[in-house]
Parts: sequence; structure tokens; C-alpha cells
Amino acid sequence: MPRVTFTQINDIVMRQLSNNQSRLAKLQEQLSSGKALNRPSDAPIDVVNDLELRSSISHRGQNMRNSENGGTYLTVLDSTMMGFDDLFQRTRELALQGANDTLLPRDRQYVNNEVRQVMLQMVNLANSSYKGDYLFSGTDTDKAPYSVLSGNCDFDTLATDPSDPAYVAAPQTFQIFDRNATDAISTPSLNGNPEVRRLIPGTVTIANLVEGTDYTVDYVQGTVTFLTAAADAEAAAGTLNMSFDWVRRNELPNENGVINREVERGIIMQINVKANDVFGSETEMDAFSSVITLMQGLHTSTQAEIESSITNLDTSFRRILGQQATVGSWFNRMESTLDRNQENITISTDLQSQLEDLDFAKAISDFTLADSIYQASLKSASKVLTATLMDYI
Amino acid sequence: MSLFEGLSVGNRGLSASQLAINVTGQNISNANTEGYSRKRLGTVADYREDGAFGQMGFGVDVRYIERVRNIFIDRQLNTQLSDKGYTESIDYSYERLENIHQEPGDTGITQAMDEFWNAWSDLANNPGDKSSREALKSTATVMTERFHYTAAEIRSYKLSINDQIAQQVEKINDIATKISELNGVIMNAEGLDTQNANDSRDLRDQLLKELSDIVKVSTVEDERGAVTVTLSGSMLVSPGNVYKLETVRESITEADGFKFSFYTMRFEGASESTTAQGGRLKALFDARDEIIPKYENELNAMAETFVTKINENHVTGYSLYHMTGIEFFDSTKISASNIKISAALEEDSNNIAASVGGNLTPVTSHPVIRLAGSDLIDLTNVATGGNVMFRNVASGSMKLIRQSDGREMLEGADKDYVLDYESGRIRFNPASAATPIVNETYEVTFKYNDSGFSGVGDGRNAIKISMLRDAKLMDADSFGNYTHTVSEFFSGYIGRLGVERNQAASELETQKSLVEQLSGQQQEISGVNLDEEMSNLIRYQHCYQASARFIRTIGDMLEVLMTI
Repeated sequence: MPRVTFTQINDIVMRQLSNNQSRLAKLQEQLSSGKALNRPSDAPIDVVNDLELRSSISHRGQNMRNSENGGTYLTVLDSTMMGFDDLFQRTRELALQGANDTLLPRDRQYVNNEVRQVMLQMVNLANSSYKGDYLFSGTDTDKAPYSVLSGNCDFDTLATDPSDPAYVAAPQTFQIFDRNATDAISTPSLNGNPEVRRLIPGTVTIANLVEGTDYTVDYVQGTVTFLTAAADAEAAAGTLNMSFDWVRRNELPNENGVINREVERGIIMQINVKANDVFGSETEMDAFSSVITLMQGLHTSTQAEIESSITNLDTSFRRILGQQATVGSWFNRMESTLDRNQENITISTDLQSQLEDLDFAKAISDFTLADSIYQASLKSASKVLTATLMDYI
Repeated sequence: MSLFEGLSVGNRGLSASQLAINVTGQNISNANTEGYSRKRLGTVADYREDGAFGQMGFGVDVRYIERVRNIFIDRQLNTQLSDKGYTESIDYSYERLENIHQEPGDTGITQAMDEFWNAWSDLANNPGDKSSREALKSTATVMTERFHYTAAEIRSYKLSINDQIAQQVEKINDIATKISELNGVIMNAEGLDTQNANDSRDLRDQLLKELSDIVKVSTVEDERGAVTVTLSGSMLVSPGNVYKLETVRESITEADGFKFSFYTMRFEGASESTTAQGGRLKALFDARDEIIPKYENELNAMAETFVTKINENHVTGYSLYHMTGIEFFDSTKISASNIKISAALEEDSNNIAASVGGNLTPVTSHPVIRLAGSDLIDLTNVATGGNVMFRNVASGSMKLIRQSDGREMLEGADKDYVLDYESGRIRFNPASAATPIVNETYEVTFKYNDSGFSGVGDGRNAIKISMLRDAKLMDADSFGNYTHTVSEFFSGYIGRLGVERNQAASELETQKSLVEQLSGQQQEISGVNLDEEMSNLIRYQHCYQASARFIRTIGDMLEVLMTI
């Protein structure tokens, strides 16, 4: 039988008590922090998984934010384009009204005024912005795509002297150029300035000359054709001055720029539409030009023009509808991505919680058990430590 | 045998019992003394040659007081104590390292990194917005600060270990000196064969135990009782001498320029350093030289990757001011302790290059003429007379020099001229002190984007950088391909820390139980059992009483003789 000394007994008792105490302390730490994993050594593999899950949840959360942001953008875009739909409907109605051949030119002018108001509303819509960024400007989001400007033209390049080799007898047609353009990057025209297009019918005036008799205007192209010698006379006198309003398509270097959102890991989605796709490019009959053809017809009271403008309006309308369909499909895709991300986050959070969070029921029962063991060890220690032969001698 | 002999026998019995009780008393008093081994009387029955009976008993002979001790268990225990000291110290180091990192949690590096990547994505959603830029700048700053904190805490722990090394070496010297003194005492006291310097030996054994905890040593006792203590093959204590250790400072400069004095250990007068082979001291050296630097290096590798990879992608992008070549992080600071956002970013968050596009081209000494009657000049090409206009001139890149007097015109609304960056047009200030003259020739040096800046709303560079979150940037394999993303690397780092801690902790548990077992065995042999001593006390007391009785009996018998 091995010899047992008091020191040994003491050591054993102390060791066991301290083991029990440290077990209790660990459970207590878990209970008060609510976490099963308080430090890497608690369960290293779990900690690695936990950290990776946390990062994944954070990433997906960001993707969700991006999707929501994108979704809102697309919603705003969609409602803007629906606004256009309404305006085009209205324009069509007015066109049909104006096409009624019982109307007098004066009546048609009244219709024209209404159409002008609608067109100005269209320009406003085209310049819509979301959180301060223009929707249709590509990545030049700080610049509006369209402007309505007032202009002046002196026709000082008109050759008026018959001996001038450039002189051409009436009728002469002249293109108006925008000398104030500071962004002359288009095809070089007169000294590098871009053409003026989309004059607004009803706003053009030339002093002392009569439209229709002395001159005609092609409002869409921005050209003026002088018909009579009276115009030449005015030019010679240097008093030829035209004032007009026009709709300018601002030259934006990055109008085709793409705005993206990272909606899922590694997947980026475009959310913006190009102005050319919505309104048409400068080389085709764009949305505003189509309205101007109607206005031209109403202004000059030309039945044929009014009727043919309806075709233009329809083309513009369909163009916008097409883009709306694209935006709609993007929106659906964005929504489903949002759902997927949300589901993924829920699953990951659940997994992470299983790893990291404490199972309270189990921990409390473990704690109770450890506590009773501790109490038992204290009690038995007290018995063992106090018994000695000296009590009996 | 005569009666007087009997008296002598009784006497001897009395003194033997007395001695025995003294020894018992000594054991009882020292029951709780650290390192005390119980003493026992070594008695032998004495005899003398007798003609009639051959050997005749002559009482009890107390030969020696022996110390009950097993030196083999002592040696084993000391070895295990060294190992336990080592693992305990290592376990503590890992515990410290773990606590510094605060993972998993919301205040660690993982969280800061996740928010950093998120902020890039938010910037991509709104590149023109000042608040997203400021948020990115702020999350980047928080992340660098977390790196700093972790690196600084690790470093400060390393420095404290360095100090502890010096302390432990001093302690070793102290113990060695005491052992040597005890060697002297024991050698003197144990002149004859039966004399034991028991208490000095106890003291010396206790000192050896303390020494083993600090550093692994081997001991050999010679026939005179002196012990030779050897540390890593060299003598620490010899029968007549002590060879002390000293610490030598070496100056170390770390990668980020931090200097500190680093201790190595050697015997006084030696030229080579000595390495400890076990015990707490070895653990301190291992922690300082291997364990901590390993983690420091990995942390630094992460910081460096952030700096280089993000800068790589950032310098090709364009800021809101149409400039390129801007660093996001200061590229001279690539350690975890000093990683920092660049000065350009610190100054203005608009310098964050969220946009991709542009082709910044430098133009030097370009001649321009100020036209008559105009406050405005276009950056035209005078030589060919064409209309090439330099647009999207990069902010801050323009230098305008008047050729006639070489004077540099200053940019500013209140100075000599104002530049419209997008159109590239220079407008002179009529009130300028430089009095710009019409028809003057100037020379201009600047940088411009001839393909055009890609727009305020372009966040593609920001998206590209935010996607670095999933790019494999760390741990190059043998082909040079990276195998892990930064967050995988870091979670692996933390996992390794946890695993190594657990390993150390379980080794410690094993060591502890080994030490306990051996301690138990030692106690079994050398420890004082009070109950045993109690019963011994009774035994010797009775023996004393009996011897006294015997003497009285002899006395009575003598008296009978005297009264004949």
C-alpha cells in the first residue's frame, strides 16, 4: 500500500478544486458573454469557419445594399419613362386634334402652344435625376443631357455681294451653328462648332421678314432658307437678325458610360440606359425632333406634315417602350438577386450563430452540474483535510 | 553481563528513544517545510564478543540520522519540471497572443477589413458623393489603426519577454551561487562516512528544483558530496566554483525601422552564446525568436499585400480631379505597425480614384498666343494653326510661363489666370499684377486626358477594387500563383493561433499530470505523514518509559546487592 502524506492529499484536493473552479469560470464566461467562442483556442476549426461566415455575411449584406440601391434607381428610371409614355399619349391626342382639317391656322397655333408645353415637360423629364445624378447622362452624371436655350443668329456669313464668288442668288439655305459651344467635339462644322438643331416652332422671329413668304425654316435640321430678294436686301443692310429657342442635346463625352452594381459575388449588373437608346441619336429622328415635326406642321398649318408627324411620334414612343422593357427585366433580375442574397444571409447567419452563440439551455445545465461537482468536492475536501489521528489521541 | 552493563544498555536505550523523539519532533515541525524530506534514525543493535555466548547484546547504537529520499525520482522530477516550466510559459505566450487579437469579435481586424471592402462598394454606388468618399477614408483609417494596435501589442509583449530573459538569467546566477555555497557546507560537514549534512542537502535539492523549472540542467554528485550542475553542456556549478551567465545586448532593427536591444545569453568570459535547452528560459527565447516573429511576419505580409495590391489598382484609376497615379496607401509604409493612408488621401477624399477612364498625357512647353481683344486663350496648337483643343486638363498640373520675361503666371481667381479644366481654356484676370499683355506668347506645360475623363458617375475602378475582396492575393505556391484571399489568410492565421494554443495547453496538461505523479511518488517516500509521526511518538515514548523502567529495575537490583 503506498504511503500517503498530508501534503499529497492537500495537493490532490487543491488540484481538483482548481480544475473544478476553472471549469466553472469558463462556463461563467460563456454565460455572461452569450458566446460559445470567445477566443480562437475555444474551438479553432469553428473559429475559422465563423470568421469566414462573418466575412461572407458582410459581403452579401453589401451586395444586398447594392441591389437595393440599384433597384431603387431602376424604379425611378421606370417611372420617369412612364412619365414619357403619358406625355407621348398626350402629344398624339393633340396631333389627332390638330390633324382635323376643319381647324383654322389660328386654332392650330393654339394646339401648337399646348404641344410646346408638353415638349418642355418632356425636356424636364429627360433631365430627371436620382440623388442629384442625371439619369440619362451616362457617367457624366453631373451634366444634364438636354437644355432649352434661346439663341441669336446674325447670318453674317451670308454672301450678299453679287460679285462675291460665294454669292448664290435666292433661295439660299443656311445652317445655324452654335458658336458658344465650349465642347466642340462633334464632326467639324463651321470652325469646329456643332450644328444647331431642333428649333422650336413658334419661337423663331426675323425682324422685317415674314415666315413662309421671305423665308422658311426646317426646324428639325436648324436650317433657314431665304426665298426672296427682300431677304438679300436685309442682309446687305446688315440688319438680319434671327432670334429663336431650341432644344440642345448637350455634348457629354461619357454619355455611353456604364453604371454598374455588384449584386452578387463577382457579378456586376448595368443599371443605366443610354440616352441614344431612349431618345434616339442625333443622326436619326429622335424623340424631341419627332415632337418638333408635329409642331412644325401645326405652326405652318400643313396637314400633310401633321399627319406624317404621327408616325414619328409612334417611332419615338416605341423606342421608349423598348427601353422600358429592358429596364423591367433588369429590375426583375435585381429583385431575384435580392431574394437570393437575403436567403443566403439567413442561412449563413444561422450557421454562424450555431457556431458562435451559446446554447443557453445546455450551458446552464452544464453550469449547474459543474457547480454541484464543485460543491461536492469542497465538502469532501473539508472532511479529508480535517481528519487526523490527533483527534483521537 | 554485569549489572553496570545493564545500566549502560538502559542508558543507551533512553538516549536512543530521546533522539528518536527529537527526530520525530523535527519531522513534525517541518511537515510543511518546502522540500523537507523526513528524517529517520538509523539504529543498529550493538554487541560485544562474549566468551560464553559468542555475541552478547550491548544495547542500541544510533548510527546516523538518515534522510529518506530517492535521488532517481528527484532527477526524473527535475526533468519533468523543466518541461512543465517550458510548456507553461509557452501556453501563457499563446494566451497573450490570443487575447491581443480579439477574434472572433466586432473589434478585430476581420470586421475592419469587411467594412473596408464594403465602403469601396458603397463608393462605387455613388462615386460623386462626398460622404461615400469620406466613409471610405474613415474605414481605411480604422483598419490601419487596428493593424497598428495588434502589431504594437505583440511588439510590446515581445519586449517584455526580452526583459524577462534578463531577469531569469539573474535568477539562475543567484541560485547557482547558493548551490555552490551549499556544496561547500556539505563537503565540510560530511567528513566521515556516517555524517550526513541532511538539511543542507534538502536545501540544495530544493534549489535544484527551482533551477530546473527555469532551465534544464543535469547534475552529477561526486564522492565528496558536491554536485556539478551542467547547463547546455557547460558547467554552471562545479565542486569548488560558480560560472555565471550574463546577458549580452545586440541591437536589432526591424523591417519598419523599430530598434530595440535584444538579449542573448552566454557564460561570462565566453565568446559564443549559449542556448537554454528546456525550462521557462527556453520558452522565453522560443517565444521571442520563433513564435512571435512568425505571427508578426504574417501580419506584416497582410499589411504589405493591402498596400501593394490596392495601390496597384488605384494608381491606374482617376480621381474626381481627373488625376491619375495617386496612391491609396503610403507605399513606403508596408508593415502592420505603420500602414497608413497616403498624404493625398489624408488631405482630400476627392483624390480617391473611383473612375477608370482617361489617358493622362503630358504636354511640355506648348506655345500659345493670347489673341487680340481676348481675355481667353484656348490651348491650341499655334504651329499648325488648327483647332486642336486640349480638354480635360488635369487639376494642379498646369504651368504657364510668359516667354518675354520668363515669368510664371499663377493660377487662381485672385491671381493671374483661371483654368477651366474641362474645356482647357485659360481666362486671364484683367486685374492681375502680372499685367498679361495681348499678343504675348506663352509656354504651357500640363497633363490632359485626350480620351476624356470617364465621368463623375463612373465607379468602375471602385468596383474593381471592391472585388479584390475575393481575389487570391496571398500565399504564393511553388508556381507563383496565389492561393488564398486576404480574409481566408487571416482566418487561417487565427485558426493556427487557436490550434497552437490548444496544443500547448494539452501538452501542459500532460506535463502537469506527469509532474503530479512524480511529486506524489516523491512525497510518498520523503513526505511527513503526521499520523505516522503521531504513532511513532507514542511508540518512542513507550520505549523511553520502558528503558527508564529497565534502569529502575537495574537500580533496584543494585540496591539489593548494596544492602547485603
